[in-house]
Amino acid sequence: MSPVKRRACLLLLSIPLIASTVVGCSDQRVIEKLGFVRTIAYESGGEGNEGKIKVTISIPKTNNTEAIHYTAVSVTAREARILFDRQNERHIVNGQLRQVLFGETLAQEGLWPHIDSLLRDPTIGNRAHVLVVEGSAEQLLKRNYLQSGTAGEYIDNLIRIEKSSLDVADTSIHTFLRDYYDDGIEPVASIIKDNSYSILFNGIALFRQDKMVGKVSAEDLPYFGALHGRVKSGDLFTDFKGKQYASDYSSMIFFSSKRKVKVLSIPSESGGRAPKVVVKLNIIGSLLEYNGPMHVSDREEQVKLEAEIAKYVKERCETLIRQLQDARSDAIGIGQHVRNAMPYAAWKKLDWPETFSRAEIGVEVRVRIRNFGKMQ
Amino acid sequence: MKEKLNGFHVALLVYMCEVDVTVFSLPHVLAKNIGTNGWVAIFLLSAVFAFNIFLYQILFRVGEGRSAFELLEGVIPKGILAPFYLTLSIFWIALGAVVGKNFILLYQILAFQTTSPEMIFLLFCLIVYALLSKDIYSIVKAITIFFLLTCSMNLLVPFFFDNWSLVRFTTSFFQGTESGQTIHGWLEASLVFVGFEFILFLFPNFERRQKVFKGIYIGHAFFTFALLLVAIVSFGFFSFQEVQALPYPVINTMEYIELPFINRLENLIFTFFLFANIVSTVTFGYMGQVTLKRIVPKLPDKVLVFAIILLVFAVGCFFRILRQTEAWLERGFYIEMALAFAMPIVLIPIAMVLKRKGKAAAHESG
Repeated sequence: MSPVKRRACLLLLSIPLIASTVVGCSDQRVIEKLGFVRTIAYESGGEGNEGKIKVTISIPKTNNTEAIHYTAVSVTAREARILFDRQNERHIVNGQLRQVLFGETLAQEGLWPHIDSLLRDPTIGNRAHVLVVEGSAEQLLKRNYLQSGTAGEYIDNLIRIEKSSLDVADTSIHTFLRDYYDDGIEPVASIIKDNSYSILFNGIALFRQDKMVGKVSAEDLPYFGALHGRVKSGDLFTDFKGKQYASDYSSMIFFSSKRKVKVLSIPSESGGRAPKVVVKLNIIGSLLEYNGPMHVSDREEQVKLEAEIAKYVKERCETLIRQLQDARSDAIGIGQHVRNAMPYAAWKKLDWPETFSRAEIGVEVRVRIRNFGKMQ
Repeated sequence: MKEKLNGFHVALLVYMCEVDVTVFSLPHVLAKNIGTNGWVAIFLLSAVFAFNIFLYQILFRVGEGRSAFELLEGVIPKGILAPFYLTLSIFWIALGAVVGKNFILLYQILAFQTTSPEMIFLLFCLIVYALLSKDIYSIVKAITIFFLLTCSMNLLVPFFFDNWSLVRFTTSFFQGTESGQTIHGWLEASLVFVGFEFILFLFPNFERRQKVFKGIYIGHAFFTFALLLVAIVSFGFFSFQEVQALPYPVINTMEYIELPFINRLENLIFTFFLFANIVSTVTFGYMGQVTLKRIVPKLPDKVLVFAIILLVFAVGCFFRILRQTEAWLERGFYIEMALAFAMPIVLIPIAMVLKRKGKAAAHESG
C-alpha cells in the first residue's frame, strides 16, 4: 500500500471511530429504552383547576394490544411530561406521536398555547392528527377496544380507512396551522366520540382562529367534504324528504366531487355591501340504491333523477353554509377566493368573519350518475 | 501539466457554492421582506447576480485569464498589499467557519441535541481538511459527488403536489411585509446568492475558452431554478402568514415527507445538505488559502492548510448558540456580497491599464 493510500485509509477509519466515541456518549437512542408516545390528550383541568390542563399520554407496549397511560393536571404539557418521565421506566420520546386529542371544552377555550408547544418541539412531525374528543378523552384513551386493542392504534386505523374511503377531512398539525395562519380560511378538526363499544367519527369541529365555535354533524360530512375541497371517493345517502321530490331515497357510492369558487362581487371597503359568491360542485358517482317511482333504466328518467339529487345536495349545502356563517367560521375558505379577487389593502381592512356571515353564497350542483349497478 | 476546469465542472461548482443554509430560510425571508408572491423577486435578484457574473467575464477577458493577485501586484507593490491580503484571508476563513458552525447548530435542532457541537464541528473540520489539502481539480471532483447527493433533493418536490394550492399564493404582489419594501429586506433576500465569487480565484485554472463562463451561467441558472422550486413549493404548501412565521419553512416541508415504510425523514434528508455546507466552507477556506499563499509563498501547502483548519475550528468554537452564528453569518454575507461586486469593479480598470502597458511594452520591444 502506498503511503498516500495508507494515510487515506487511516483518515477514513478515524472518522467513524471519532464519530462513535463522540456521538455515542450522550445522544444514544436505544429502542428498548425508549417509550414512544402515540397519543397525547389535552383537556381542561376541570373544577378547582382553573387555568390548568389535564394531560394524558398513551405509550403502546410492544405487544401492540396494551398501552401504558399517564395522566396529570398541570399548567403546560411539558410540565406534565416531566412528571411522566419521573414515573416511566423508559425515556419518553415524542418522535412517533400520531394523534393529538383535545377535549371539547378546551377546544372552545382555545388551542393555540398547546399547538404552539407541539410545533416548537422538533421531534413532533407535522403529520400528527389533530382531533377533538366529545366526552372524556382520558376515558376514551384508557379503554381497550375489540377493534384493534389500544385506542391509539384504533384511531390511527380509523383515520386511515376514513380518509381513503370517505370524505372526512384529514386534519393534521400541518393543515391546522396552515389554515390558522391563513386569513381567508379557518381551521377544522375531526371530532371523535367514545361510543361504548367503538370510537365513532362524529363530525367536524369548526374554529375561529384557535377557538372551537361550532360543529358540522356527522350526517353533513359528505356535503362538508364537497364544499371544503375535493372528495375522491365518498358515500352519499340522499333521503328525499318533502313534497318537492318524487323519489324516496337513493344512495350514491364512490362519488367524487370537484369544487370551484366564483366570486361574483367583492364586498365594499367599509364592509357595508356583502360579497356574492357561487360555489360550483361537480359530482359524479355510481347509484347503488334507489327507491321511488322513477324507472332508473330509462335515460330521460336518469336525467331527472340527477336533477333531483342535485337539488337535494344544493339544499343541504346551502343549509350547511348558513350554519358556518352563523358560527362566523369560514371553514371552506371562501375568504381565500374573495381575497384573491380584491386589492390587498381593501382586504386587510375587512373584518372577514363578520363579512362572511353576511355574504350571499349560492351553491350550484351538477350531478352525473356514472352507472346504475348491475340491475336494470 | 495541471488539468484545467471545464464548463461542466464549473457549473456544478457554482451551484454548490451558492447552496448553503440561507436556502432553508429563503421562503421565510422572501415572505417577511418582500411579501406576497415574493418568489417573483428571485427572478430579479438572479438577474442582478447574473450581471455580477458578467463583470467577472469581462475581467477574465480583459485580464486575459490572469488571477486577481497578478493584476493587483502589477500596479501596487506587494508590501502594501500584504496587510490587505491578510485581512481578506482571515475574513474568508472566519466566514467559512461561521457557515459550518451555523449549519451544525441548525442541525442540532433536529438531531444530536445533547452532543457537544464543538465535537461535531471537529469532524466537519476534518472533512474540510481532507478536501482543502488536495488540489482544486480533486476538490471539484469530490464536489461532483456532493452535487449529485444535494441536487437529488429537488426530486422530492412531487411529494407536495397533493397538498399544494395556487389559491394560497394570493393575487397581490409584494404586499403584507412587516415594514414595506426596504433596501435591507431586498439585500437580506439576495444573500442567498452569495458564494459564486469563488470563480475569481479559479481564473488560472480555467480553460482559456469562453465555454467556462457558459458553465457558470448554467450553474447560476440551475441554482435559480432550485430556489424557485423551493419558494413555490413553500408558498403553495403553507399559507402566506405561516411562511412569515416559520423561520425555516424548508425543514417543515421535509417533515411532511412520508414513505410507506419510513416516516420523519427530515433527519435523514437534512444530513444531505451537510455536503453543500462543506463545499461552502471549503471554498471560503480555499479563497483564504490562495490569498495567504501570496504573503507566504514558501510555506508548504500542508502546513498552511493545517493552520487554516485550526483557525476555522477556533472561530467555530467561539460561537456557541444559533443567534450568534446567524447574526454573524448575516454580517459576513453582507460584506461578502459587497466584495463580490467590488472585486471585478476594482480589477477591471487595473486589467485595462495593464493591458495597455503590456501592449506598449510589446510595441517598444518589437
